[in-house]
Amino acid sequence: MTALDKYTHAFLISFKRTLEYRASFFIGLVSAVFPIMMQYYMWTTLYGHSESNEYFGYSYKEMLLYILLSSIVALLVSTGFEWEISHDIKDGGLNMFVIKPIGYMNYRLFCFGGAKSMQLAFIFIVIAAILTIYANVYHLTFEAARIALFIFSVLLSLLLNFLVFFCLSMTAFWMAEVWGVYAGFGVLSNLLGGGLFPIEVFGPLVNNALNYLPFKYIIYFPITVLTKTLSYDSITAGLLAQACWIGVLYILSRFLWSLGTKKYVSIGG
Amino acid sequence: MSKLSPFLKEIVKYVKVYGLFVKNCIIAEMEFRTNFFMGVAVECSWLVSKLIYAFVFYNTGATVSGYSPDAILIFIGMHTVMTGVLISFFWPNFSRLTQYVREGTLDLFITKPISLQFMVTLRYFNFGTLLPNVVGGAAMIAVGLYRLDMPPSLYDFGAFILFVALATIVTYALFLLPNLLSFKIVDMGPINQIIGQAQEVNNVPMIVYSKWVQLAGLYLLPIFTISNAFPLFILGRMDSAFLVWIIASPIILLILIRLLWRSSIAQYASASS
Repeated sequence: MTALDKYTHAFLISFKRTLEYRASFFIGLVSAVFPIMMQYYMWTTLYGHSESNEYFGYSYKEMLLYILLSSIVALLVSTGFEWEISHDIKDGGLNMFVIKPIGYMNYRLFCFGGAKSMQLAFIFIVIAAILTIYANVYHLTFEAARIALFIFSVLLSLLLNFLVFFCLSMTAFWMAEVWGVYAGFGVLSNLLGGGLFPIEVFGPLVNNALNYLPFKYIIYFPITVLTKTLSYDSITAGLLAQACWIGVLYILSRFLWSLGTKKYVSIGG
Repeated sequence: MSKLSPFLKEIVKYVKVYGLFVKNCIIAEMEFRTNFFMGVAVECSWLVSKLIYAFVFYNTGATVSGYSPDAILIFIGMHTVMTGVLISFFWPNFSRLTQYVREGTLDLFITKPISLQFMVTLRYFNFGTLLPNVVGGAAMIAVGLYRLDMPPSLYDFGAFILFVALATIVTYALFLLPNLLSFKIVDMGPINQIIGQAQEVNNVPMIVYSKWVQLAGLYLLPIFTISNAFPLFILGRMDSAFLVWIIASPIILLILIRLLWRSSIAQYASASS
């Protein structure tokens, strides 16, 4: 069995598992209706009660499109494997990987890819439907090149978010109780990534700070590729920033993994 | 009086038992302090996301149907307080219901000389998640009132306590309702996910919603009464008919949930034997 075969199996098993438990994903989509409905009414009221046609640099149509897409992209890039990693570390499940010729990080990456591939296909259909309806109702056009760049950027976002949460999950090597770290970080990373509002809402100070962090490249940037009139130079710069963050976080995750496994003591399993 | 006496005795008994539940949970939390501080930290991060909503209203400066951003801050503050009530008093219990049914633990509770509904739905309490929400929410309400030149009086404080009590009953009944499906469904995770998101509709005042959504959220599933009643009262925007509904709805819901609970228990078949 080649190295690729091992990981292809992990990918396929994860894909089949997600297909089997597809209801969880669809219920996640249904539950996203409530925040979308709330934001729809909120922005409709705000734009309706003001003489201003723009808030935070967004017209009403752009804001609604952002809210719709951010809820969907946030659901797509969401992880969850960090809880499994903390269980593996805490309960000794990692022993199985230590004695087998399989790289734990690669295994997790392929499992994540397998789980997301089914969601990816479905979500792109939903996004295509939204864009078609939007184009017809609001007479907006979306260039094919921008749509292609958006898809590419979402794929990079998936990898970036995987690495962010893989690094975070390494805290389980040093902490017995990590649920608070994971839950709190999840809320803040979604907020700072633009999952709730476009990051322009936070003002220039926070936006400057976000330029030096990876979060805005996870949800905000891919959406702006599609919805804002970013120049192709800005898009290229954003894609390069995504790639750079992937490189930095890959190195950091390898480093944390190597430090963590030195500290790891096998208990149970 | 002699007829009331056994009833009052029961009330006193339940208050004492509930006090013991709370004491026991606080002792457990203090024993595992890391969990306590993590609960506080997680709720602080949620608090930040609620503050962002207020920040958006302030930044746009829009007055919505006569409500300034300061008035809207009071609505968001009340929602924050009630979120604390939900996730501290009720969620730790409701989320265990499915486990009780699946593993047969409910059988053990049935044998206790106390109301099963009381035992199952109020046994656990989480102080760590209550603290940031109540402090943060109360601070938002106070700031909103001061900025509106309406410094809170003792009367306002009394009204706040009364409306929180009424909203607590509505919260209890409304959020227990879907959890009764635990008697029929093995995995409640997805349903709880939907409930969690549905609760977020109160992140903004009900005035932003359309008329039909407002009516449904007030009279069909009165989720809007939880966070909107006190702000409307304190801002002098509540008419007497609406006040009657705010007082009547918790009573109706409490009776309804009691009947549904009894009906669910009547159909319960033990899983342990």
